[in-house]
Amino acid sequence: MIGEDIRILDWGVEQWNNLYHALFHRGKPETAIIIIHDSGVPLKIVQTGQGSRPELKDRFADDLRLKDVIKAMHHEEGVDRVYAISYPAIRRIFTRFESTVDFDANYIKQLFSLKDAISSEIGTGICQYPAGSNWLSDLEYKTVRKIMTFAPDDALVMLTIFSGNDIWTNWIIGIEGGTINLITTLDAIKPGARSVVDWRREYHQIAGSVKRHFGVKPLAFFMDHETFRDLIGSRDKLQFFRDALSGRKIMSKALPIKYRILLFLHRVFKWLSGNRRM
Amino acid sequence: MVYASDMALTARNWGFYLDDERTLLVSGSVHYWRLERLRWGEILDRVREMGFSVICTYIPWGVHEISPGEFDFGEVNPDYDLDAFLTLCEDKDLRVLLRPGPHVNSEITYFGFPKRVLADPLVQSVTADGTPVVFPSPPRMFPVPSYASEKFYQEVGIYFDRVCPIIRDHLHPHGCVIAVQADNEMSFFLRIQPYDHDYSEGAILLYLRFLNEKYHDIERLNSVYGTDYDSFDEVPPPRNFNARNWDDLPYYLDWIEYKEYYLQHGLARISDMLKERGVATFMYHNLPGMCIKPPYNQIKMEEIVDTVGFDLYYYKEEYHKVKRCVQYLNGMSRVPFIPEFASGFVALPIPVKPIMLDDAEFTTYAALMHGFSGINFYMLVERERWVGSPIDRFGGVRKERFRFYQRFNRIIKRINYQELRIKCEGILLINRDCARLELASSLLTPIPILGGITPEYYVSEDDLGFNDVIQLEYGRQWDALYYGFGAAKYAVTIGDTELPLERLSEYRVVAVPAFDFMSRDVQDKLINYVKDGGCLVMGPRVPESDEHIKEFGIIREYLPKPDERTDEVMVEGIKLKDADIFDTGTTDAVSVLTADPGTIIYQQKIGSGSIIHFGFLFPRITEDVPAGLISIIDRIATAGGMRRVIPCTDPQIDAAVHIADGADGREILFVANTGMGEKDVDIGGIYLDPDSEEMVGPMIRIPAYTVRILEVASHDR
Repeated sequence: MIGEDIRILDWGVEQWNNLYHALFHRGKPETAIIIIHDSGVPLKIVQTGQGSRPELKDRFADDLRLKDVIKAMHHEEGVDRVYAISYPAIRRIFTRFESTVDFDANYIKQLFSLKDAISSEIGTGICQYPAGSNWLSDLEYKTVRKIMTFAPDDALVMLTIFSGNDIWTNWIIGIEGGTINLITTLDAIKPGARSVVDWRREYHQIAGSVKRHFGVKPLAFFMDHETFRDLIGSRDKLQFFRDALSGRKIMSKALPIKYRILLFLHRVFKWLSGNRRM
Repeated sequence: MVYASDMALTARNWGFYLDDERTLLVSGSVHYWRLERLRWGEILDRVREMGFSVICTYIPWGVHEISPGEFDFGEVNPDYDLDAFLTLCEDKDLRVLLRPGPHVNSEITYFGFPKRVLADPLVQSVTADGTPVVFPSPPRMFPVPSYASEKFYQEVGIYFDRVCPIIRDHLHPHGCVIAVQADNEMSFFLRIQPYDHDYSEGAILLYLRFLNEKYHDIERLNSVYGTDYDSFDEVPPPRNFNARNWDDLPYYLDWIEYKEYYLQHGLARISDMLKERGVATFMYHNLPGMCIKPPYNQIKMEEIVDTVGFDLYYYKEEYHKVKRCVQYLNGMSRVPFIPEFASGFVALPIPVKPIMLDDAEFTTYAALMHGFSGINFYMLVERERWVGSPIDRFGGVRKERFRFYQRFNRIIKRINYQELRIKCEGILLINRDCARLELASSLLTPIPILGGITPEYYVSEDDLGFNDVIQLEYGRQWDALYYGFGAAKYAVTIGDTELPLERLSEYRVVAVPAFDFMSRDVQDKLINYVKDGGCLVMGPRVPESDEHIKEFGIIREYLPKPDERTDEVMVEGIKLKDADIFDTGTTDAVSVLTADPGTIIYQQKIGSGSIIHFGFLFPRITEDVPAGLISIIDRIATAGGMRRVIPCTDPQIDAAVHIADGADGREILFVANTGMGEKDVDIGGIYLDPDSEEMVGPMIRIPAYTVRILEVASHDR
């Protein structure tokens, strides 16, 4: 969870830029038609990049269901997605969110209040074609909280990704009492821990300098940025991560013993099941 | 009690004067409380080394208040010692702009308000549905305060009682503080949709007060609204746009005017509270980005404080946003000032693309090109939740950034930028009546209007009985004129129909998109501008009614009536819609552009000036300006007696000329390549490149996203 007084400092500018583009920059933006309607009567239709498309209102006939109209519009207009948003639903989402959000809760829980308000309108107040993935709608706060409990407490978690032997992006996250209270990068350490000749040999030293600076041994992961891109692009990220750790494409430091045993067993089972290259 | 203080800083003739000497105010933000006190001196020395002599800092209420009514200004945490920090600035001969809030944002949790204050329901703003208004910023969402809440001002007063004596002790001429900012980004916390908030008890009372001040007598309101209220107290605030025809509009247009009034009220309360506590100095305010339309009202806000500027955080691809902001400040403000200009970027766990050095380089020079009298770089020194500044929080320098600001400060000194004033022959006005309708008819309340969402994406498309869907077409017509004049290289700045006649009279040409209704005052002002010798470019329609949608058309009395209307006219590849055709043969009007069915643009002489009327709808125009539009604008501009700045008509190239005040008449040409490819540009003459000290032109090569600064040596004008 995110602490109220979280310290966010000393971010490497290029590092954030690299991470941002890896995580959020998806290339060509999605094209969409958005219909705002009131009980199925279109009030406004817009298309991304093109503005108003009033002529599309003619597609709404009395005997057509909204879901059929947006499906037909998707096929005929060649856009990635068509959304139909009920005018009163916009307000209902805000009202539900703003009347349920807990100002004393942590930020993730607050975001879940918003997610729940939006999810409650999916399929009714907000229709889309093709239908989107349901994983976000199905995700519950208690699941995220459970995941966070697996994180080591009172610890630093570090992720360092290299391009060649240069640090491409690096993140150090401090966790205390189940709450993230620090987000920084190796730029916090002056001078030095950043010049590397061969990261696969020297990652121990990087972790060591982090320990010297913060007084805590970090749970650290190191990889090259090709592996990171593969991780981002993989469908089953957890599986990919486990496999990459086993195959030493991702190097770790200070991984707790129980995780090491799990990884060892994972490799053994893979080997026994015939995938001996692992 | 009001304490006397000599105003160190004043504004006149669009410039800052410090102790009566014309000054370019170039400042940078340094947040004392986020830096170790032992490093303050070293950090300020680095700031000086970059060429800055002015710094700016917030004073965060929520940081200094350690329990209700109890404050730490260094007694507990030495880093919080504001008095010591200001004294150090004085020792180092630095001037200071202070921003005591109460709202500071500053990327702090709760935006600098104490959490206990925000938690008080009597302080909170309220939505149309009665819920608190949530600001969703990490690391904690919070309920925003109402600027109509008396309880809020009581709390602010306790804080101001403590902080103002410290500020007062450091006011010029005895101290380093030359200006104070009243509050911060007064903008309904970016939730400006018309029927979102504030519907708190205090806000509704303020609405009734506004109506009372506007109409004085309920019967006057009833005659405008077509209602039969017995008193103002019975008028309910609108919570949705339910207008069915133009008769219904005054109620909604008043609501938008009230939203402007609400912001003015908040600003006036805060600035008065500061003044009452002896902070009698140059007072300014900042708005968040391109705030050129309602609910913002530059002219009215500058009746409250000395200047109001815009905060600019843009990427290099957003040249036109920078241009519009700076041009608008130039056209409207007493002294064009940018209280926050990106130097680095916010570091929060949210997916915001970082503003890189190349973004900052191009946008900084783009702002310089369009003319300002003051700028504050936010932030010069990194700190918690902010990165990418030229100085890190330990006093170390980020070399490339550090050198960029050193060079920038050298250039503005070398060209004596403070003596320059941008030369503009024309001004394109925001039509406030149409802009109010645009906002009033939003169908997306309460989704905040952020980023690149233009009105086209959210306004109602009901024509309400008018000739056109005004709220949809207004923005399109304005954009066509803006991009058209720019691409054709005519020097046209941006203003607002609120500008007084004497300000309009400075321009050879005034352009404004006009539709079926326009305020009486504006119609009167525009016709007087024309009679006094100005050239008014207007269209597509000539107003026939006033702001109350009552018949009033003083301009139309002077203009010919159309013979017919045709759905579509093609002119040089551009499809013009709903075009009125005029027979200029039967009047003394002169045709400016004739298309297949007849004259569609004409010029009518009136008094010493003229009106150029285009009677059609331009299509939707973006930055990729078609040649046909440039050709149409060329006809209009030529008829208006304007001259191009440079011959090039590439839409990705922009140009501006600045002229020095006084006798030497120096001219500086700025040419920007706003695109991603290198360009060869015809600048129409020979110029001195002050960087290389070589003569260049008439063809010059400009790299992508670059502004060239050239001194006029000789050319064929």
